[in-house]
Amino acid sequence: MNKTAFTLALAGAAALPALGQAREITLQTTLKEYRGNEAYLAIYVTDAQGDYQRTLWVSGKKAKYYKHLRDWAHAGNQPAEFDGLTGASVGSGETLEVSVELEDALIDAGYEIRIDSAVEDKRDNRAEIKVPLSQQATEISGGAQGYVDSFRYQF
Amino acid sequence: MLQRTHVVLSLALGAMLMVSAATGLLLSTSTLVEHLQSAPALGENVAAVAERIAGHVQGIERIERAPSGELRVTFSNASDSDAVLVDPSTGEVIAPYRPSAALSWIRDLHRELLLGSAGRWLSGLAALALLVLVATGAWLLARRLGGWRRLLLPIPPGKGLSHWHTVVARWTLPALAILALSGLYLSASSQGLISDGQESEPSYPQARYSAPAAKLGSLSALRTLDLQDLRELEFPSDSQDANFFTLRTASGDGFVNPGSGQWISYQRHGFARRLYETAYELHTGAHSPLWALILGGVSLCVLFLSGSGVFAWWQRKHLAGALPGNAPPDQAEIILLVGSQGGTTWSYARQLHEQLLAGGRRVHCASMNQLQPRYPDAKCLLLLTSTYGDGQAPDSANAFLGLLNRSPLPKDLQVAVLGFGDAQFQHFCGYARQVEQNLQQRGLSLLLPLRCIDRGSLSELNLWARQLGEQLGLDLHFTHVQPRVAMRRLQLLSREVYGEHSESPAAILRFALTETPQARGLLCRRRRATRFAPGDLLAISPGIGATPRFYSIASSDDDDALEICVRKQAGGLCSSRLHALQVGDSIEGFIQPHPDFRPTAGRHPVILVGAGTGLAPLIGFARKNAHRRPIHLYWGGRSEQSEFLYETELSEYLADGRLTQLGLAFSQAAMPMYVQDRLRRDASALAALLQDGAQVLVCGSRGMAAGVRGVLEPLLQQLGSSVEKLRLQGRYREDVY
Repeated sequence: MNKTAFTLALAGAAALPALGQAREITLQTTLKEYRGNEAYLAIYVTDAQGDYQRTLWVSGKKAKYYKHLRDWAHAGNQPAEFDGLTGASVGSGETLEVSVELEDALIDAGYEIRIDSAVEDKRDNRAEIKVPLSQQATEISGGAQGYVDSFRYQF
Repeated sequence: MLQRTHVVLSLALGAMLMVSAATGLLLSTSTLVEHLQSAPALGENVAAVAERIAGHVQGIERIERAPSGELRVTFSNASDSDAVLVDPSTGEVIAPYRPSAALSWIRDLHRELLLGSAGRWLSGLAALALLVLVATGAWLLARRLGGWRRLLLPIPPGKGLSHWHTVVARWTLPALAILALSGLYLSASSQGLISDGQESEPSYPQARYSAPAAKLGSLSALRTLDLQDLRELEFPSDSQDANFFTLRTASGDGFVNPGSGQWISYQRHGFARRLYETAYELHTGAHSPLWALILGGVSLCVLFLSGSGVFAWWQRKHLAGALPGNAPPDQAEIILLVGSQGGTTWSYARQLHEQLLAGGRRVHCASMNQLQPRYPDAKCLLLLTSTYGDGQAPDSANAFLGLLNRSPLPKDLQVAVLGFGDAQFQHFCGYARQVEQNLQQRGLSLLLPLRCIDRGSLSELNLWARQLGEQLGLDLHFTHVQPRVAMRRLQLLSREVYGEHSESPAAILRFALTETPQARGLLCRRRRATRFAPGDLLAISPGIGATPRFYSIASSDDDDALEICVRKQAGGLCSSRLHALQVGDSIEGFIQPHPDFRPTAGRHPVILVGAGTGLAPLIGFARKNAHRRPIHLYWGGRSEQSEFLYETELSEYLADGRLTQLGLAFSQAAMPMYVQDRLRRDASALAALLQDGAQVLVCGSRGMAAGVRGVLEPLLQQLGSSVEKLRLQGRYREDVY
C-alpha cells in the first residue's frame, strides 16, 4: 500500500475544559506495513502511574470496536471523553497527523502520551507507545509487537 | 411482472450474488473445518481452564474463546509476546495463532467486495436482492406448482435445467430466506443503521479493591461459568495495581474482582445484542457445525440457481430471439406457444407472430413450458410443436402437460395444433397428437384440426396457414426456413456398385467428412467434431429448398469414413446424384442423430432384420459388436450372384463371432424367398431368443417391415406378449422408408 499521509486539521476542536492556558499539539503517527484491515488507535494522556487523564485522538468510527483499545477503554470510552476527537481508522503504512489543544498544565509535569491499538483478527496492543509529555518535539519508534512504526509530536 | 422482477434482478445482481455465494461457500467450509479441529470441552469451568493455561503460559493478557471452541490466548512476558492456540483440556500451547490472510481476504470480499465500507452497501444490496429473489421465486414456484400448498408436495418429475432450478429452489428457499435476512441485518448493523447493542460497555470500575489477589482457580465468578459460555477473559493489566478482570460471556459482560472473585457491574446483553448474535450465528454457522454444513450446501445451491437461472434465461432469449411487439400474457388475444428442440419450429412461430401482429392482433408468443396459469383476454391458443424421440415432448415443451393440469384454461378458448416431424419415423408428430388429445379432453374446441408437417413441407404449412388465416380474417403464409444444421462437405472416397446392369443398382458409398466453413461469427465456426454412429442418418438435399432424403449410416465417427448404402431409384433425384458421384467428387449433407434406432446396452441377444440397402445400419451394429453379444442377422437381397451386399464382411464377422447367425433370403434365386419367409423358417429359434429378452431392430421398406411384424406377432402372442408391448419396452424398433 502506498504511504498516504492524511492530515486532519481540527479547527478549535478542543472540547477539553479550559483549565488555564492551552496550546496546540501536533501528533504524527506512522503505521508499519502489515497485512490486515485498518487499525483503530487511541492516543491519550496518563499520569506516571498510567492513570488515564485525557483523550487526544481516537482513530476509528465504530464504538463497538473501542473495547479492543484495551487500556484506554477502561477509562476513556465514555463518549464525552472524545467528543469531536475521532477520525477514520488508519491503514497499513499510512500516516495520521492531527492537531489538538492541550492544557499547559499537563506539559513537563510527569505525564505521558500512550497509544493503544487494534486491528481486526490481529493483536490488540495496550500502550504500545509510551512517551513522556515534554515541551520538546519528540520522536519515538514503535515496538516489535505493535502497528506503530513511529510517533512524534511537536507544539 | 414478478417473473420480470425475478429475471431482471438476478441478471443485474447475478455476478455479485455469485461472488457472495462462492466466498460464502469457502467461509462456511473454513468454519466447518475450525469446528472439526477444536475438540469440545464439556462441563469444564473457566476458572479451572484458565488456571491450567496459566500453568503453561506466562503473562497472559487475555483468553478468547471462538464460537467453534478454539481457545486463543494472548500473552506478553519478559521473553516473548504472542497469540497462541491452547488445548483447554491440558492448558498446553498447540500452535501460534495465525489467522489466514487468504481467509480474511475472502471475508472482505464477501462482506465488502474489497471496497471498504462503501462495499458494505453493495453486499447489503446483494442480500436485499437475494431476499427479493426468494420472495418472487417462492411466488413463481407456487404459481408454477399450482398453489402455495403444493410447495410442500412432491414436484412432478421432469428434465432439464429449469426443472432442477425449481427442485433445488424449493428445498433451499427457507435457508435462503434466513441467509438473506441475516445478511441484510448484519450489513445494516455494520452500517450503523441498526444498533447491535455493542456500543455501550459497562464502565470499568473506578474503585480499587483492597484484598490481595486470590488464586485464579478459586475465583467464584469464573468457577461458575461454563467454558462453553466464555467469550473473553481479559486479565488485569497490572496485578500490582489492583486492576480487574474483564469478563465477557454469552449472556452478558462485566468485571471480576481478583480479590473476592465477585462480579462487578455485570450487564446482561440486551435485546439488540441478542438479535445481532442470533443473526450472526444464522449467517455464519459459527456455533454449529451442522448449520455451517447446511450453509455451505446452500451457497452451492445459490451458485447453481444463479447459473441455471441465467442459462435458462439466455436459452429462452436465444431460442425465442427477439420478439418485438410481443404482448404480455394477460393482454393477448392470441396465445402462440412453441415446443421446439432445435429452434426450427421457433422460426415458423416467429413468422406467424410477425404476421399476426401486422394484422393488428395482440399476440403473446412463448415456449410451451412458459404456459401461464391465466390468459384473461385470450380467444385462441395456437400450439406449434415438434416431437422428440419416440413421441416425447421436445425440450421447450417437456413440462407443458404437467403445467396444463394446473392451468384452468377457459372453455371458450379455441385451439389449433401444428405438428412438425418426419413421416419416416414411427411416431410422426406423436407429441403434437398427444397435446391435441389432451386439450380436447379438457373440453376445448378446435379452431383447426391437427396438421402434421412432414419435414417442413412448405405446401402443407401454407395450407394450414390459409385455413388459419380464414378463421382469423387475415392473410397468412409461411416462407421456407433453412434448418439450422451444420452442413458438411462429403467427398467420395470409394464406391462399390452391385447389380450395375440392373435398373436399380445398389451402391456402398464411403465419404470423407469435412466441415463447410460458415461465415457466421467466431462462435459458430468453433463447432466440435461431428459425432455419429451406425443407425444415425445422413441427410442429402436433392435441390435448394427441397426436403432432404435420409440414408442410414453404417459407420461411426471413429472409422475413417462415413458409409451409406444407396439404391438408385427410377426418377429419384437424390439417389441418381449419389450414384453419379465419382471418387473425389463432393456433395453436401448433414447428419441427423437417430439415437432410438440402435441396440440398447446390455448382453441380451439382438435380432437384426433388413432387406436391400436396409442392411447398412445393421452391418454397422455388427461391426461395432466388440463385446460379442449374440447378434442374429436376417437379410433379404435380390440375387446372391450380383447383389450380395457386404458378402465378405458378413462371413468375416460370422468367423470372428461378431455375428452369431446369418439368415439369408434372395428373391431372385431358384427358390425365391423373402426375409419374412426366412424368419418364419426359424420361428422356434426366434421364439427362444425373444423369450430370452432379445431386442428386434428392423430396417427396410414399409412393406417388408409390415411382413416382419406379421411373422413375429403370432410368435410373441404365444409368449403372452406383442410387438406393441415390445415397442413400449424399447425392444422393437423400426427404421423404414
